[in-house]
Amino acid sequence: MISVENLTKSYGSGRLSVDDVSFTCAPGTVTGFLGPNGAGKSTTLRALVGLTPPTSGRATVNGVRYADLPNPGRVVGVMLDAAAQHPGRTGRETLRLAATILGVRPGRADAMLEMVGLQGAEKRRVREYSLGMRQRLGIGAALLGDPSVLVLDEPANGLDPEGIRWMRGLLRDFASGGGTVLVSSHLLREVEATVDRLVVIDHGRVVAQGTMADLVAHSAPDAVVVRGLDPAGLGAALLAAGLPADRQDDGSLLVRADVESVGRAALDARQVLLELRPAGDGLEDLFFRLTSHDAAGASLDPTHLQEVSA
Amino acid sequence: MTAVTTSVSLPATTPAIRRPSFATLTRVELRKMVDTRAGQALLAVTVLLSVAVVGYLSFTARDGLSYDAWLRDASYPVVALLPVIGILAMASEWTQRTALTTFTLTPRRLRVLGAKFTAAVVLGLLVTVVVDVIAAVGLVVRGLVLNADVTWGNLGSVLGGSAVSAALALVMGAAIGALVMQTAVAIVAYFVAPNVVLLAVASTMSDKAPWVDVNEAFGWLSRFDVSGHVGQLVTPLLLWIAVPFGVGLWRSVRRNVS
Repeated sequence: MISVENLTKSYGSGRLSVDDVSFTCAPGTVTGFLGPNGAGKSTTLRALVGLTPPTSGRATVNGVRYADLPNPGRVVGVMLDAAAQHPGRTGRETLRLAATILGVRPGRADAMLEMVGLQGAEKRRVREYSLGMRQRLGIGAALLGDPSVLVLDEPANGLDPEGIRWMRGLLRDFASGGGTVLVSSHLLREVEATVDRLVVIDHGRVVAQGTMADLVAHSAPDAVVVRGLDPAGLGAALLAAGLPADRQDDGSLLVRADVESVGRAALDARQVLLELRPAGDGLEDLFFRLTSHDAAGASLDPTHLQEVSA
Repeated sequence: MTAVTTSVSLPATTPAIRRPSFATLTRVELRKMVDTRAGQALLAVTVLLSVAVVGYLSFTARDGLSYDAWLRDASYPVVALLPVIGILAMASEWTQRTALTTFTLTPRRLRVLGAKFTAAVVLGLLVTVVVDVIAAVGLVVRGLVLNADVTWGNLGSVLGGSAVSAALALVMGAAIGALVMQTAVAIVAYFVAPNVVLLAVASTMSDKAPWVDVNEAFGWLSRFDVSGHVGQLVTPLLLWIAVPFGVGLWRSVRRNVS
Protein backbone atom coordinates (compact mmCIF):
# COMPACT_ATOMS: atom_id res chain seq x y z
CA MET A 1 0.00 0.00 0.00
CA ILE A 2 1.47 3.33 -1.10
CA SER A 3 -0.03 6.60 0.07
CA VAL A 4 1.07 10.01 -1.17
CA GLU A 5 -0.61 12.88 0.66
CA ASN A 6 -0.52 16.51 -0.50
CA LEU A 7 3.09 16.16 -1.54
CA THR A 8 4.68 19.44 -2.60
CA LYS A 9 8.27 20.08 -3.62
CA SER A 10 9.69 23.48 -4.39
CA TYR A 11 13.26 23.98 -5.57
CA GLY A 12 13.54 27.52 -4.34
CA SER A 13 12.78 30.07 -7.10
CA GLY A 14 9.06 29.64 -6.31
CA ARG A 15 8.53 27.08 -9.06
CA LEU A 16 6.76 23.99 -7.76
CA SER A 17 8.22 20.79 -9.17
CA VAL A 18 5.47 18.82 -7.44
CA ASP A 19 2.30 20.64 -6.44
CA ASP A 20 -0.07 19.07 -3.90
CA VAL A 21 0.07 15.55 -5.32
CA SER A 22 -2.11 12.91 -3.65
CA PHE A 23 -2.85 9.33 -4.67
CA THR A 24 -2.86 5.83 -3.26
CA CYS A 25 -1.87 2.47 -4.69
CA ALA A 26 -3.68 -0.59 -3.32
CA PRO A 27 -2.28 -4.12 -2.96
CA GLY A 28 -3.01 -6.35 -5.92
CA THR A 29 -3.00 -3.50 -8.41
CA VAL A 30 -0.63 -1.92 -10.90
CA THR A 31 -0.78 1.88 -10.94
CA GLY A 32 0.59 3.73 -13.92
CA PHE A 33 2.15 7.11 -13.12
CA LEU A 34 1.91 8.94 -16.37
CA GLY A 35 3.08 12.30 -17.58
CA PRO A 36 5.37 14.00 -20.06
CA ASN A 37 9.07 14.33 -19.28
CA GLY A 38 9.66 16.94 -16.61
CA ALA A 39 6.12 16.70 -15.22
CA GLY A 40 7.30 15.80 -11.70
CA LYS A 41 7.11 11.99 -11.83
CA SER A 42 10.67 11.33 -10.79
CA THR A 43 10.61 14.01 -8.08
CA THR A 44 7.47 12.43 -6.62
CA LEU A 45 9.05 8.97 -6.64
CA ARG A 46 12.30 10.26 -5.10
CA ALA A 47 10.29 11.98 -2.36
CA LEU A 48 8.43 8.70 -1.78
CA VAL A 49 11.68 6.86 -1.03
CA GLY A 50 13.25 9.68 0.99
CA LEU A 51 15.88 10.81 -1.52
CA THR A 52 14.27 14.22 -1.94
CA PRO A 53 12.97 15.97 1.17
CA PRO A 54 9.45 17.25 0.35
CA THR A 55 8.62 20.89 1.05
CA SER A 56 5.32 19.76 2.55
CA GLY A 57 3.04 16.73 2.58
CA ARG A 58 4.13 13.16 3.12
CA ALA A 59 4.40 9.76 1.54
CA THR A 60 4.11 6.41 3.29
CA VAL A 61 4.41 2.74 2.46
CA ASN A 62 2.14 0.51 4.54
CA GLY A 63 1.56 3.55 6.75
CA VAL A 64 5.25 4.12 7.48
CA ARG A 65 7.60 6.69 6.01
CA TYR A 66 10.07 4.88 3.74
CA ALA A 67 13.09 6.14 5.70
CA ASP A 68 11.58 4.74 8.91
CA LEU A 69 11.37 1.20 7.57
CA PRO A 70 14.05 -0.91 9.31
CA ASN A 71 15.32 -2.40 6.05
CA PRO A 72 13.30 -0.71 3.30
CA GLY A 73 14.48 -2.97 0.48
CA ARG A 74 12.72 -5.90 2.14
CA VAL A 75 9.36 -4.15 1.85
CA VAL A 76 9.72 -1.88 -1.17
CA GLY A 77 11.64 -2.79 -4.29
CA VAL A 78 12.83 0.41 -5.93
CA MET A 79 14.39 1.17 -9.28
CA LEU A 80 14.64 4.87 -10.03
CA ASP A 81 17.59 5.00 -12.41
CA ALA A 82 19.14 2.02 -14.14
CA ALA A 83 22.29 4.09 -14.74
CA ALA A 84 22.90 4.47 -10.99
CA GLN A 85 25.08 1.35 -10.79
CA HIS A 86 28.86 1.46 -10.66
CA PRO A 87 30.16 0.73 -14.18
CA GLY A 88 33.25 -1.04 -12.84
CA ARG A 89 31.35 -3.63 -10.82
CA THR A 90 30.02 -6.89 -12.23
CA GLY A 91 26.28 -7.51 -12.29
CA ARG A 92 26.72 -10.32 -9.82
CA GLU A 93 28.80 -8.25 -7.40
CA THR A 94 26.22 -5.44 -7.58
CA LEU A 95 23.46 -7.76 -6.42
CA ARG A 96 25.65 -9.54 -3.85
CA LEU A 97 26.42 -6.24 -2.15
CA ALA A 98 22.71 -5.41 -2.04
CA ALA A 99 21.93 -8.91 -0.72
CA THR A 100 24.33 -8.35 2.20
CA ILE A 101 22.53 -5.15 3.21
CA LEU A 102 19.12 -6.73 2.75
CA GLY A 103 20.14 -9.71 4.86
CA VAL A 104 19.12 -12.30 2.26
CA ARG A 105 21.15 -15.32 1.16
CA PRO A 106 23.88 -14.50 -1.39
CA GLY A 107 22.39 -17.27 -3.52
CA ARG A 108 19.31 -15.14 -4.00
CA ALA A 109 21.43 -12.68 -6.01
CA ASP A 110 22.18 -15.45 -8.51
CA ALA A 111 18.54 -16.50 -8.58
CA MET A 112 17.50 -12.93 -9.41
CA LEU A 113 20.12 -12.64 -12.16
CA GLU A 114 18.64 -15.74 -13.73
CA MET A 115 15.09 -14.48 -13.27
CA VAL A 116 15.78 -11.22 -15.10
CA GLY A 117 17.58 -13.04 -17.90
CA LEU A 118 21.14 -11.96 -17.13
CA GLN A 119 22.58 -15.44 -16.64
CA GLY A 120 25.76 -15.60 -18.70
CA ALA A 121 26.34 -11.84 -18.27
CA GLU A 122 26.67 -11.86 -14.47
CA LYS A 123 30.48 -11.79 -14.56
CA ARG A 124 30.63 -8.90 -16.99
CA ARG A 125 31.04 -5.38 -15.68
CA VAL A 126 28.01 -3.10 -15.78
CA ARG A 127 29.97 -0.79 -18.11
CA GLU A 128 29.53 -3.43 -20.83
CA TYR A 129 25.78 -3.75 -20.30
CA SER A 130 23.27 -2.25 -22.70
CA LEU A 131 20.63 0.07 -21.26
CA GLY A 132 18.14 -2.80 -21.46
CA MET A 133 20.48 -5.06 -19.47
CA ARG A 134 20.92 -2.35 -16.85
CA GLN A 135 17.15 -2.07 -16.57
CA ARG A 136 17.00 -5.83 -16.02
CA LEU A 137 19.73 -5.62 -13.39
CA GLY A 138 17.86 -2.79 -11.68
CA ILE A 139 14.64 -4.82 -11.67
CA GLY A 140 16.58 -7.78 -10.27
CA ALA A 141 17.94 -5.54 -7.51
CA ALA A 142 14.43 -4.27 -6.77
CA LEU A 143 13.10 -7.83 -6.40
CA LEU A 144 16.10 -9.05 -4.39
CA GLY A 145 14.60 -8.36 -0.97
CA ASP A 146 11.35 -10.19 -1.83
CA PRO A 147 9.32 -6.96 -1.36
CA SER A 148 5.54 -6.56 -1.35
CA VAL A 149 5.69 -3.16 -3.06
CA LEU A 150 7.46 -2.21 -6.29
CA VAL A 151 8.32 1.35 -7.36
CA LEU A 152 9.83 1.59 -10.85
CA ASP A 153 10.68 4.77 -12.73
CA GLU A 154 10.46 4.35 -16.51
CA PRO A 155 11.46 0.66 -16.40
CA ALA A 156 10.65 0.13 -20.07
CA ASN A 157 13.35 2.59 -21.21
CA GLY A 158 15.86 0.79 -23.35
CA LEU A 159 14.06 -2.55 -23.26
CA ASP A 160 13.42 -4.23 -26.59
CA PRO A 161 9.82 -5.27 -27.46
CA GLU A 162 10.43 -8.74 -26.04
CA GLY A 163 11.80 -7.15 -22.85
CA ILE A 164 8.80 -4.84 -22.53
CA ARG A 165 6.49 -7.84 -22.85
CA TRP A 166 8.51 -9.70 -20.22
CA MET A 167 8.26 -6.75 -17.86
CA ARG A 168 4.50 -6.43 -18.34
CA GLY A 169 4.12 -10.09 -17.40
CA LEU A 170 6.36 -9.60 -14.39
CA LEU A 171 4.35 -6.62 -13.11
CA ARG A 172 1.04 -8.43 -13.65
CA ASP A 173 2.33 -11.54 -11.83
CA PHE A 174 3.64 -9.41 -8.98
CA ALA A 175 0.24 -7.71 -8.56
CA SER A 176 -1.65 -11.01 -8.90
CA GLY A 177 0.35 -12.28 -5.96
CA GLY A 178 -1.01 -9.41 -3.85
CA GLY A 179 1.82 -6.99 -4.51
CA THR A 180 1.47 -3.24 -5.02
CA VAL A 181 3.07 -1.77 -8.12
CA LEU A 182 3.70 1.88 -8.98
CA VAL A 183 5.28 2.28 -12.40
CA SER A 184 5.98 5.56 -14.17
CA SER A 185 6.12 6.23 -17.87
CA HIS A 186 5.89 9.12 -20.29
CA LEU A 187 4.31 6.84 -22.89
CA LEU A 188 0.71 5.76 -22.47
CA ARG A 189 1.18 2.89 -24.95
CA GLU A 190 3.82 1.38 -22.68
CA VAL A 191 1.58 1.02 -19.66
CA GLU A 192 -2.02 0.95 -20.84
CA ALA A 193 -1.99 -2.82 -21.37
CA THR A 194 -0.59 -3.47 -17.90
CA VAL A 195 -2.06 -1.03 -15.42
CA ASP A 196 -5.32 -1.11 -13.47
CA ARG A 197 -5.19 2.52 -12.43
CA LEU A 198 -3.68 5.65 -13.88
CA VAL A 199 -2.42 8.78 -12.19
CA VAL A 200 -1.74 11.44 -14.81
CA ILE A 201 0.58 14.27 -13.78
CA ASP A 202 1.50 17.42 -15.63
CA HIS A 203 3.45 20.46 -14.46
CA GLY A 204 3.63 18.95 -10.99
CA ARG A 205 -0.14 18.54 -10.61
CA VAL A 206 -2.33 15.46 -10.83
CA VAL A 207 -4.61 16.21 -13.79
CA ALA A 208 -6.52 12.92 -13.80
CA GLN A 209 -6.63 9.67 -11.88
CA GLY A 210 -8.84 6.63 -11.72
CA THR A 211 -9.25 3.13 -13.07
CA MET A 212 -8.52 2.57 -16.73
CA ALA A 213 -12.23 1.85 -17.33
CA ASP A 214 -13.28 5.12 -15.66
CA LEU A 215 -10.83 7.19 -17.60
CA VAL A 216 -11.78 5.56 -20.89
CA ALA A 217 -15.49 6.15 -20.17
CA HIS A 218 -14.86 9.82 -19.42
CA SER A 219 -12.71 10.35 -22.41
CA ALA A 220 -15.02 9.06 -25.17
CA PRO A 221 -14.09 10.98 -28.28
CA ASP A 222 -16.61 13.44 -29.64
CA ALA A 223 -16.08 12.52 -33.28
CA VAL A 224 -16.63 9.47 -35.48
CA VAL A 225 -14.82 8.26 -38.57
CA VAL A 226 -17.14 6.74 -41.17
CA ARG A 227 -16.35 5.39 -44.64
CA GLY A 228 -18.96 4.36 -47.18
CA LEU A 229 -19.03 2.62 -50.55
CA ASP A 230 -20.42 5.86 -51.98
CA PRO A 231 -18.75 8.73 -50.13
CA ALA A 232 -20.84 11.44 -51.79
CA GLY A 233 -24.12 9.64 -51.13
CA LEU A 234 -23.11 8.97 -47.52
CA GLY A 235 -22.15 12.63 -47.04
CA ALA A 236 -25.53 13.76 -48.38
CA ALA A 237 -27.37 11.26 -46.17
CA LEU A 238 -25.55 12.48 -43.07
CA LEU A 239 -26.24 16.11 -43.97
CA ALA A 240 -29.91 15.28 -44.41
CA ALA A 241 -29.90 13.74 -40.92
CA GLY A 242 -28.43 16.98 -39.53
CA LEU A 243 -24.90 15.57 -39.13
CA PRO A 244 -22.48 17.68 -41.21
CA ALA A 245 -19.35 15.73 -42.12
CA ASP A 246 -15.82 16.70 -43.13
CA ARG A 247 -14.27 14.83 -45.99
CA GLN A 248 -10.84 13.42 -45.03
CA ASP A 249 -7.89 12.94 -47.37
CA ASP A 250 -8.35 9.17 -47.38
CA GLY A 251 -11.98 9.44 -48.48
CA SER A 252 -13.48 8.81 -45.05
CA LEU A 253 -15.77 11.29 -43.33
CA LEU A 254 -15.27 12.83 -39.89
CA VAL A 255 -18.55 13.51 -38.12
CA ARG A 256 -19.12 15.31 -34.84
CA ALA A 257 -21.65 12.83 -33.50
CA ASP A 258 -21.82 9.52 -31.67
CA VAL A 259 -21.37 6.21 -33.43
CA GLU A 260 -25.00 5.17 -33.10
CA SER A 261 -26.49 8.33 -34.76
CA VAL A 262 -24.13 7.98 -37.70
CA GLY A 263 -24.98 4.28 -38.06
CA ARG A 264 -28.73 4.99 -38.02
CA ALA A 265 -28.43 7.84 -40.54
CA ALA A 266 -26.54 5.50 -42.89
CA LEU A 267 -29.11 2.73 -42.39
CA ASP A 268 -32.03 5.09 -43.13
CA ALA A 269 -30.40 6.15 -46.41
CA ARG A 270 -29.47 2.52 -47.24
CA GLN A 271 -25.78 3.47 -47.50
CA VAL A 272 -23.27 0.61 -47.36
CA LEU A 273 -20.64 1.23 -44.64
CA LEU A 274 -17.06 -0.01 -44.91
CA GLU A 275 -15.87 1.44 -41.63
CA LEU A 276 -17.43 3.09 -38.59
CA ARG A 277 -15.41 3.87 -35.46
CA PRO A 278 -14.68 6.52 -32.84
CA ALA A 279 -12.08 8.97 -34.10
CA GLY A 280 -8.70 8.34 -32.55
CA ASP A 281 -7.98 6.59 -29.29
CA GLY A 282 -10.03 8.08 -26.48
CA LEU A 283 -7.49 7.52 -23.75
CA GLU A 284 -4.58 8.67 -25.84
CA ASP A 285 -6.51 11.80 -26.81
CA LEU A 286 -7.21 12.42 -23.16
CA PHE A 287 -3.56 12.02 -22.28
CA PHE A 288 -2.48 14.43 -24.97
CA ARG A 289 -5.23 16.88 -24.13
CA LEU A 290 -4.30 16.82 -20.43
CA THR A 291 -0.66 17.31 -21.16
CA SER A 292 -0.73 18.90 -24.60
CA HIS A 293 0.47 22.43 -23.86
CA ASP A 294 3.81 20.80 -23.30
CA ALA A 295 4.07 19.55 -26.85
CA ALA A 296 2.54 22.68 -28.30
CA GLY A 297 4.81 25.09 -26.49
CA ALA A 298 7.94 23.07 -25.84
CA SER A 299 10.11 26.01 -26.73
CA LEU A 300 8.25 28.45 -24.50
CA ASP A 301 9.48 29.58 -21.14
CA PRO A 302 7.98 27.17 -18.55
CA THR A 303 6.87 29.97 -16.20
CA HIS A 304 4.99 31.52 -19.08
CA LEU A 305 3.34 28.16 -19.75
CA GLN A 306 2.23 27.89 -16.16
CA GLU A 307 0.55 31.25 -16.35
CA VAL A 308 -1.19 30.27 -19.55
CA SER A 309 -2.51 27.01 -18.14
CA ALA A 310 -3.51 28.54 -14.81
CA MET B 1 33.97 -16.39 11.49
CA THR B 2 30.71 -16.98 13.26
CA ALA B 3 28.70 -15.18 10.57
CA VAL B 4 29.70 -17.85 8.07
CA THR B 5 28.56 -20.76 10.22
CA THR B 6 25.13 -19.25 10.83
CA SER B 7 24.54 -18.40 7.18
CA VAL B 8 25.21 -22.02 6.17
CA SER B 9 22.37 -23.28 8.32
CA LEU B 10 19.87 -20.62 7.19
CA PRO B 11 16.57 -22.01 5.95
CA ALA B 12 15.59 -21.52 2.32
CA THR B 13 12.88 -19.02 3.23
CA THR B 14 13.67 -15.34 3.43
CA PRO B 15 15.09 -14.48 6.86
CA ALA B 16 13.54 -11.95 9.23
CA ILE B 17 13.68 -8.26 8.37
CA ARG B 18 16.37 -6.54 10.41
CA ARG B 19 18.09 -3.22 10.15
CA PRO B 20 21.56 -3.77 8.66
CA SER B 21 24.13 -3.47 11.46
CA PHE B 22 26.90 -0.89 11.32
CA ALA B 23 29.36 -3.77 10.91
CA THR B 24 27.43 -5.03 7.89
CA LEU B 25 27.39 -1.57 6.31
CA THR B 26 31.12 -1.18 6.95
CA ARG B 27 31.83 -4.60 5.45
CA VAL B 28 29.84 -3.65 2.33
CA GLU B 29 31.62 -0.30 2.01
CA LEU B 30 35.02 -1.96 2.47
CA ARG B 31 34.17 -4.43 -0.28
CA LYS B 32 33.00 -1.60 -2.55
CA MET B 33 36.44 0.00 -2.21
CA VAL B 34 38.25 -3.08 -3.47
CA ASP B 35 35.84 -4.72 -5.93
CA THR B 36 36.42 -2.33 -8.84
CA ARG B 37 39.52 -2.09 -10.99
CA ALA B 38 39.95 1.58 -10.04
CA GLY B 39 40.03 0.72 -6.33
CA GLN B 40 42.37 -2.22 -6.83
CA ALA B 41 44.69 -0.13 -9.01
CA LEU B 42 44.92 2.61 -6.40
CA LEU B 43 45.91 0.12 -3.67
CA ALA B 44 48.34 -1.67 -5.98
CA VAL B 45 50.02 1.59 -7.01
CA THR B 46 50.36 2.68 -3.37
CA VAL B 47 52.01 -0.58 -2.32
CA LEU B 48 54.16 -0.88 -5.45
CA LEU B 49 55.52 2.66 -5.04
CA SER B 50 56.52 1.80 -1.48
CA VAL B 51 58.17 -1.37 -2.73
CA ALA B 52 60.02 0.68 -5.35
CA VAL B 53 61.29 3.17 -2.77
CA VAL B 54 62.39 0.43 -0.39
CA GLY B 55 63.89 -1.55 -3.28
CA TYR B 56 65.93 1.50 -4.31
CA LEU B 57 67.15 1.97 -0.74
CA SER B 58 67.99 -1.75 -0.47
CA PHE B 59 70.42 -1.45 -3.33
CA THR B 60 71.90 1.97 -2.66
CA ALA B 61 71.85 2.73 1.07
CA ARG B 62 75.38 2.79 2.42
CA ASP B 63 74.70 4.06 5.91
CA GLY B 64 71.77 5.30 7.95
CA LEU B 65 70.28 1.84 8.22
CA SER B 66 67.61 2.98 10.66
CA TYR B 67 64.03 1.81 10.48
CA ASP B 68 62.81 5.30 11.27
CA ALA B 69 64.42 6.80 8.15
CA TRP B 70 63.48 3.88 5.91
CA LEU B 71 59.88 3.94 6.98
CA ARG B 72 59.66 7.69 6.43
CA ASP B 73 60.89 7.27 2.85
CA ALA B 74 58.70 4.23 2.21
CA SER B 75 55.69 6.16 3.51
CA TYR B 76 55.87 9.05 1.02
CA PRO B 77 53.63 7.29 -1.52
CA VAL B 78 51.27 6.24 1.26
CA VAL B 79 50.89 9.74 2.64
CA ALA B 80 50.33 11.03 -0.90
CA LEU B 81 47.83 8.38 -1.98
CA LEU B 82 45.91 7.53 1.20
CA PRO B 83 44.02 10.84 1.03
CA VAL B 84 42.73 9.67 -2.33
CA ILE B 85 41.29 6.58 -0.62
CA GLY B 86 39.56 8.87 1.86
CA ILE B 87 38.29 11.15 -0.91
CA LEU B 88 37.02 8.23 -2.99
CA ALA B 89 35.24 6.77 0.04
CA MET B 90 33.27 9.93 0.69
CA ALA B 91 32.85 11.42 -2.80
CA SER B 92 32.85 8.69 -5.42
CA GLU B 93 29.20 7.68 -5.00
CA TRP B 94 28.08 11.24 -5.64
CA THR B 95 30.31 11.36 -8.69
CA GLN B 96 29.17 7.99 -10.03
CA ARG B 97 25.52 8.73 -9.17
CA THR B 98 25.40 5.42 -7.29
CA ALA B 99 24.47 7.46 -4.20
CA LEU B 100 20.91 7.11 -5.46
CA THR B 101 21.07 3.32 -5.18
CA THR B 102 23.02 3.31 -1.91
CA PHE B 103 20.77 5.76 -0.08
CA THR B 104 17.63 4.08 -1.40
CA LEU B 105 18.80 0.81 0.12
CA THR B 106 19.90 2.51 3.37
CA PRO B 107 18.08 5.83 3.85
CA ARG B 108 19.95 6.61 7.11
CA ARG B 109 22.66 8.53 5.35
CA LEU B 110 24.82 9.30 8.38
CA ARG B 111 25.13 5.57 9.13
CA VAL B 112 26.23 4.92 5.55
CA LEU B 113 28.72 7.80 5.60
CA GLY B 114 30.03 6.60 8.97
CA ALA B 115 30.48 3.12 7.53
CA LYS B 116 32.31 4.57 4.52
CA PHE B 117 34.65 6.50 6.78
CA THR B 118 35.30 3.49 9.02
CA ALA B 119 35.98 1.32 5.97
CA ALA B 120 38.44 3.89 4.61
CA VAL B 121 40.30 4.03 7.94
CA VAL B 122 40.48 0.23 8.16
CA LEU B 123 41.75 -0.04 4.60
CA GLY B 124 44.25 2.79 5.14
CA LEU B 125 45.67 1.16 8.27
CA LEU B 126 45.96 -2.19 6.46
CA VAL B 127 47.95 -0.49 3.70
CA THR B 128 50.12 1.19 6.33
CA VAL B 129 50.87 -2.14 8.00
CA VAL B 130 51.83 -3.64 4.62
CA VAL B 131 54.20 -0.74 4.00
CA ASP B 132 55.65 -1.10 7.54
CA VAL B 133 56.45 -4.73 6.70
CA ILE B 134 57.91 -3.86 3.29
CA ALA B 135 60.23 -1.27 4.87
CA ALA B 136 61.30 -3.73 7.59
CA VAL B 137 62.05 -6.50 5.08
CA GLY B 138 64.06 -4.11 2.89
CA LEU B 139 66.04 -2.90 5.88
CA VAL B 140 66.85 -6.43 7.04
CA VAL B 141 67.94 -7.44 3.53
CA ARG B 142 70.23 -4.41 3.18
CA GLY B 143 71.69 -5.05 6.62
CA LEU B 144 72.50 -8.64 5.63
CA VAL B 145 73.99 -7.57 2.29
CA LEU B 146 76.26 -4.97 3.88
CA ASN B 147 76.72 -7.16 6.92
CA ALA B 148 75.98 -4.03 8.94
CA ASP B 149 73.91 -3.38 12.03
CA VAL B 150 70.47 -1.91 11.60
CA THR B 151 68.82 0.29 14.19
CA TRP B 152 65.16 -0.20 14.92
CA GLY B 153 64.79 2.69 17.35
CA ASN B 154 61.75 2.91 19.57
CA LEU B 155 59.49 0.64 17.49
CA GLY B 156 56.36 1.76 19.26
CA SER B 157 56.76 5.43 18.42
CA VAL B 158 58.12 4.72 14.91
CA LEU B 159 55.17 2.50 13.96
CA GLY B 160 52.73 4.68 15.87
CA GLY B 161 53.99 7.77 14.07
CA SER B 162 53.64 6.07 10.70
CA ALA B 163 50.06 5.08 11.56
CA VAL B 164 49.21 8.58 12.81
CA SER B 165 50.53 10.39 9.72
CA ALA B 166 48.76 7.90 7.43
CA ALA B 167 45.51 8.24 9.38
CA LEU B 168 45.67 12.06 9.41
CA ALA B 169 46.21 12.22 5.65
CA LEU B 170 43.34 9.81 5.08
CA VAL B 171 40.97 11.57 7.46
CA MET B 172 41.68 14.95 5.91
CA GLY B 173 41.08 13.44 2.46
CA ALA B 174 37.77 12.06 3.70
CA ALA B 175 36.81 15.46 5.11
CA ILE B 176 37.55 17.27 1.85
CA GLY B 177 35.77 14.50 -0.10
CA ALA B 178 32.70 14.80 2.13
CA LEU B 179 32.61 18.55 1.59
CA VAL B 180 33.29 18.69 -2.16
CA MET B 181 31.37 15.49 -3.17
CA GLN B 182 33.17 15.37 -6.50
CA THR B 183 36.18 13.07 -6.73
CA ALA B 184 38.43 14.94 -9.17
CA VAL B 185 37.69 18.38 -7.72
CA ALA B 186 38.23 17.05 -4.19
CA ILE B 187 41.65 15.61 -5.09
CA VAL B 188 42.75 18.94 -6.54
CA ALA B 189 41.30 20.81 -3.55
CA TYR B 190 43.11 18.49 -1.12
CA PHE B 191 46.52 19.18 -2.60
CA VAL B 192 46.04 22.82 -3.55
CA ALA B 193 43.75 24.51 -1.02
CA PRO B 194 45.90 24.13 2.15
CA ASN B 195 48.96 25.49 0.33
CA VAL B 196 47.07 28.40 -1.20
CA VAL B 197 45.66 29.37 2.20
CA LEU B 198 49.07 28.96 3.81
CA LEU B 199 50.71 31.16 1.16
CA ALA B 200 48.00 33.78 1.45
CA VAL B 201 48.29 33.93 5.22
CA ALA B 202 52.10 33.83 5.17
CA SER B 203 52.32 36.71 2.69
CA THR B 204 49.87 38.95 4.55
CA MET B 205 50.50 38.15 8.21
CA SER B 206 53.47 35.82 8.37
CA ASP B 207 53.36 35.34 12.13
CA LYS B 208 49.92 33.72 11.80
CA ALA B 209 51.07 31.12 9.24
CA PRO B 210 51.62 28.26 11.77
CA TRP B 211 47.96 28.57 12.70
CA VAL B 212 46.82 27.32 9.29
CA ASP B 213 49.77 25.07 8.38
CA VAL B 214 48.27 21.58 8.32
CA ASN B 215 51.48 19.86 7.19
CA GLU B 216 53.37 21.25 10.17
CA ALA B 217 50.55 20.14 12.49
CA PHE B 218 50.54 16.63 10.99
CA GLY B 219 54.31 16.48 11.41
CA TRP B 220 54.11 17.41 15.10
CA LEU B 221 51.37 14.87 15.71
CA SER B 222 53.20 12.03 13.97
CA ARG B 223 56.25 12.75 16.18
CA PHE B 224 53.96 12.93 19.21
CA ASP B 225 55.33 16.42 19.74
CA VAL B 226 52.33 18.27 21.16
CA SER B 227 53.37 20.57 23.97
CA GLY B 228 54.12 24.22 23.33
CA HIS B 229 52.00 24.62 20.20
CA VAL B 230 48.61 23.19 21.04
CA GLY B 231 46.86 26.15 19.42
CA GLN B 232 48.81 25.81 16.16
CA LEU B 233 47.94 22.11 16.27
CA VAL B 234 44.24 22.37 16.91
CA THR B 235 43.45 25.27 14.54
CA PRO B 236 44.61 23.57 11.31
CA LEU B 237 42.83 20.37 12.38
CA LEU B 238 39.62 22.32 12.89
CA LEU B 239 40.07 24.23 9.65
CA TRP B 240 41.02 21.32 7.38
CA ILE B 241 39.28 18.34 9.02
CA ALA B 242 36.52 19.18 11.50
CA VAL B 243 34.85 22.04 9.61
CA PRO B 244 34.86 20.46 6.11
CA PHE B 245 33.68 17.15 7.58
CA GLY B 246 30.92 18.77 9.58
CA VAL B 247 29.64 20.92 6.73
CA GLY B 248 29.99 18.02 4.26
CA LEU B 249 28.01 15.58 6.42
CA TRP B 250 25.36 18.22 7.09
CA ARG B 251 24.97 18.81 3.34
CA SER B 252 25.04 15.08 2.54
CA VAL B 253 22.19 14.33 4.91
CA ARG B 254 20.02 17.15 3.57
CA ARG B 255 20.80 17.22 -0.09
CA ASN B 256 18.51 16.05 -2.80
CA VAL B 257 19.79 12.77 -4.30
CA SER B 258 19.18 12.46 -8.01
